[in-house]
Amino acid sequence: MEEILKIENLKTYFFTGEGVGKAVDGVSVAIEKNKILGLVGESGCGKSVTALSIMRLIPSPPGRIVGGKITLSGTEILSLPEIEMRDIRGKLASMIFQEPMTSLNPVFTIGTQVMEAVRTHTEIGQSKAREIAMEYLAKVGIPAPRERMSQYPYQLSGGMKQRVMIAMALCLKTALLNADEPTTALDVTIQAGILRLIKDLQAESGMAVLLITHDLGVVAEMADEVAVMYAAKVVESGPCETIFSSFCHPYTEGLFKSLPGRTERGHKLYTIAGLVPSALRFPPGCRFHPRCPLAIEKCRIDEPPLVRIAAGHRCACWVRAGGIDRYDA
Amino acid sequence: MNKERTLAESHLKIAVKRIKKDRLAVAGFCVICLFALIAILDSVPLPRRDVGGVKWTRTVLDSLFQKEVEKSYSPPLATSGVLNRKEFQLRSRHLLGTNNLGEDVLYNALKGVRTAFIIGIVPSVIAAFFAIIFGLLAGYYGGWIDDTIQYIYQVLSSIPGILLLIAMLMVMERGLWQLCVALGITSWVGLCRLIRGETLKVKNMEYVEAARALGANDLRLLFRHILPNVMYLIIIEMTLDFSSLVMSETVLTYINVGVEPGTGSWGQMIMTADRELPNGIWWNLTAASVFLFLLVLAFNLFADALRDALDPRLREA
Amino acid sequence: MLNYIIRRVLLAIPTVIGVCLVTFLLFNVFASPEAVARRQLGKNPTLAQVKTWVTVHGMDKPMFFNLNPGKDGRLHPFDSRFWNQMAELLLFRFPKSDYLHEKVSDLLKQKIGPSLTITIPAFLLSILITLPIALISAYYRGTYLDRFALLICVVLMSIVILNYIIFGQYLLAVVFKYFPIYGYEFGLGAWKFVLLPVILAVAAGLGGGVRFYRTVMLNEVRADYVRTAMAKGVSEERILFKHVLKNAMIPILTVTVLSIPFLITGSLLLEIYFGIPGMGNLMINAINNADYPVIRTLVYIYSLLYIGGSILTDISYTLVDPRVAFE
Repeated sequence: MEEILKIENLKTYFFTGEGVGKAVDGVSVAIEKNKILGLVGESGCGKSVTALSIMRLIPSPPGRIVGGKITLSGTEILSLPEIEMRDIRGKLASMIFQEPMTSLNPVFTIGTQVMEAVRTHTEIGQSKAREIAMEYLAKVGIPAPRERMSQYPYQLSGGMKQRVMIAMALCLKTALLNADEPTTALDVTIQAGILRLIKDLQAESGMAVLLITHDLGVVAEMADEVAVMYAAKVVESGPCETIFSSFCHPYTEGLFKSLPGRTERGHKLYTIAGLVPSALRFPPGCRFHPRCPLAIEKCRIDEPPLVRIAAGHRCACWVRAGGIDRYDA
Repeated sequence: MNKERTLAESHLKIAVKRIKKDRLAVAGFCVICLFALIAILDSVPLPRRDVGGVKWTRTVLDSLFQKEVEKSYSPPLATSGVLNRKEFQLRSRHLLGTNNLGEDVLYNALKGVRTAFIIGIVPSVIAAFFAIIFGLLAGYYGGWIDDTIQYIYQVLSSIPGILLLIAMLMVMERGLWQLCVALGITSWVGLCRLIRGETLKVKNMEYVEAARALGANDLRLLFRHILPNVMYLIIIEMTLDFSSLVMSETVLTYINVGVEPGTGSWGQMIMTADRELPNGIWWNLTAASVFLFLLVLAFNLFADALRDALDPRLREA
Repeated sequence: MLNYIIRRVLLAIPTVIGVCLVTFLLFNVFASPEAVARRQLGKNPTLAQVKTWVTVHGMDKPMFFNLNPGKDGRLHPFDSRFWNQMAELLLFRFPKSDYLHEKVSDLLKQKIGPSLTITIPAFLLSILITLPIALISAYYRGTYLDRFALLICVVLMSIVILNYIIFGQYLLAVVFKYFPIYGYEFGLGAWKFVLLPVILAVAAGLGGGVRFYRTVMLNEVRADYVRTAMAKGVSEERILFKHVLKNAMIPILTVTVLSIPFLITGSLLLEIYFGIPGMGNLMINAINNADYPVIRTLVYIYSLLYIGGSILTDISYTLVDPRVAFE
């Protein structure tokens, strides 16, 4: 199947007064047409920065993409000049951001902003654009879309603002959709509707989706492939069923064990010991080793490579995936 | 408490590192230090000497730079000057020339440095004093205290600054320190608003609630917990105000509201000098202007970098 | 809208009264009426002259409350300095100048015009020049061009306005003789006298203005909604001129609209230097001559202008920020 997105050894660093924050440090993933890749991990592990890097929306004074290659529908985008990047954004790739409260322009109406999305890369006229905008607002479950079109962001609740953001991204009908925690601010029922909508659109257009979330339930329902990130690196990746049924990496195991359903009633909830390390100071060797119950001496010294342990299933662990069959980018 | 102190220290270190990166700001800081050195030299008195029966204090600066007084004007580095169309020989070399009283222009300009620093700092300190007290009280207690304080500063800001200044100076006499007090009293409103706003934001934060739960009384809360968080606003405001205060001294002296004649100040030099330009005498005015420009520019460059470095929004990496 | 304005005006009344009270205290408490009279009467006035002056000017009345029966035998408790002066101001029946012997209202009518011939062109020209420069600087942000422009702004800001005026006048009017040095002409001929002051006013404000507008725009440029617009593929120009500019109008309007009422009060320094017979000149002369009636009136007007300015600013917000309504 055609690969829409291919990320090879992406490195995005933030150069601050306190040091260099390695937000993404050698990440390689790929998404095929019509597939959804779920990117999971705790906050601060680099998931959002990965999506922003694909869109090249990294805030440039502190941040910079320092290495790697990103190929989008055959085009290598990291070396493109900014002007050509504008043709990519909104046309080949779109993004749903995590912060609905501040991501909409407060002084323009909802209608103006969604219509702007519709008309930016097309020749669609104003009245047609208005219809399409209203159509998508309805699709994301916003009641009374006609009235909403002339309202301002401050008149909408957080959940509705998020749905507007989703409508704006979906109506662009791009080859790749980056969705950064798209349903976190929404109720379960609306969430189900949005997820179904994304799947429907995918069926229509063959859109590839990078779905960033910390909710394993959403991953289970939506994702074809899963990549687990920890401390700016991918520690495990593979088909969804494989990861859920036979996970490999101790961190992945910890994530699953932490789910409330897994603990018997009357027992303490499982938590992964320790704290996520700061991007300024990652521990040497395997970055998970301070929190890992299986850590051996080698884990403290060398970083384990991401190796293939089964068809399409990769894991980076000395103990569980001893280094056979090195996955090459 | 200790945790807060170490946190403040680490913020300071980060701020210093950020400022070091801005080369212009560092250059500005060096210039400021140079000027500060001059001001300090001018503040250290030497043992008094009676000169012809008149006791007056000389400072270290005087001993270094004071030159003999000539009869009248002379251009920089000249050997002779002109008085009433007659040439007269100069007693010594004057790097920047002499003014109408024969005084060395460089010496006068250097004497103005101390005045500039006093004018730039003292009013800010006075204003900060009022602003902190009123701002903290208004923000923290709210209610009628807040309303009263807000009324006071609304009234004060509706009166043109010049007039308040003049009225105050009519009550006290003209003088450097009186000017500082007057400037301080008329300029605390802006900072007070900022502090009040910040106090409102901070007073509902968790660590204040926690401290209150642990039994801290109001005064302790205000000064130990809230004030440190407002400090950065005060520092930024004070450094930013330095330049405008120094510049306003020159303007005020010009319209006869500033320091009394006889105090060494750049405002005095500019005031007398502007009549000299049509006669081709440029060095007095230029010297004062250049000194003023350098100090103000240095402070502007440094203050900008300081403001960016202390900006809490940029604190998180 | 009218309700809003009325409410704001009513709320402002205590402030105006406060201002009048403060001014009254400042100018009446610290100088005795006799001292004031002596000042105005010039060299060595006789005691009789001083007394007459004081009576004529109503300064012999008590400060706040008059408990002595008047000429008609009845009590007029409010016939005191404070209430008389307040009545004059609040009813806009302005007093006579001590020094110039004209009614202050007449003086105002004469002086406002010349002040406006400088302040209005300076204001408009300033905005027309600084705003586009700031926009361009924001567009090229981060580049050497932008940083260079910023440095120039700081340098320009570090030059005291006195220097602009002194050197400007000297070089352009005295040496090169492009402009007249001094003076004013009423009517259409005013333009030649006004040109240089306006140019210098704009030049002196250029550095600060460009820097301020640039900072405001850059603040907006870092906002999340700009990121969203970029993700849609919107062009840089459209983002800057539509998305950012409209949001930046809010702080920009605060500063510009607030300064509109003060166009009337004129620029002190420019008027002194160039001999423009405007409000600034009036103020400075009143101060130098301890002309209290004029000073009182000017302070009162000034505070009205300030309040008017802030009401105008709030109204202007409602035009650009949909979140603000006339609550």
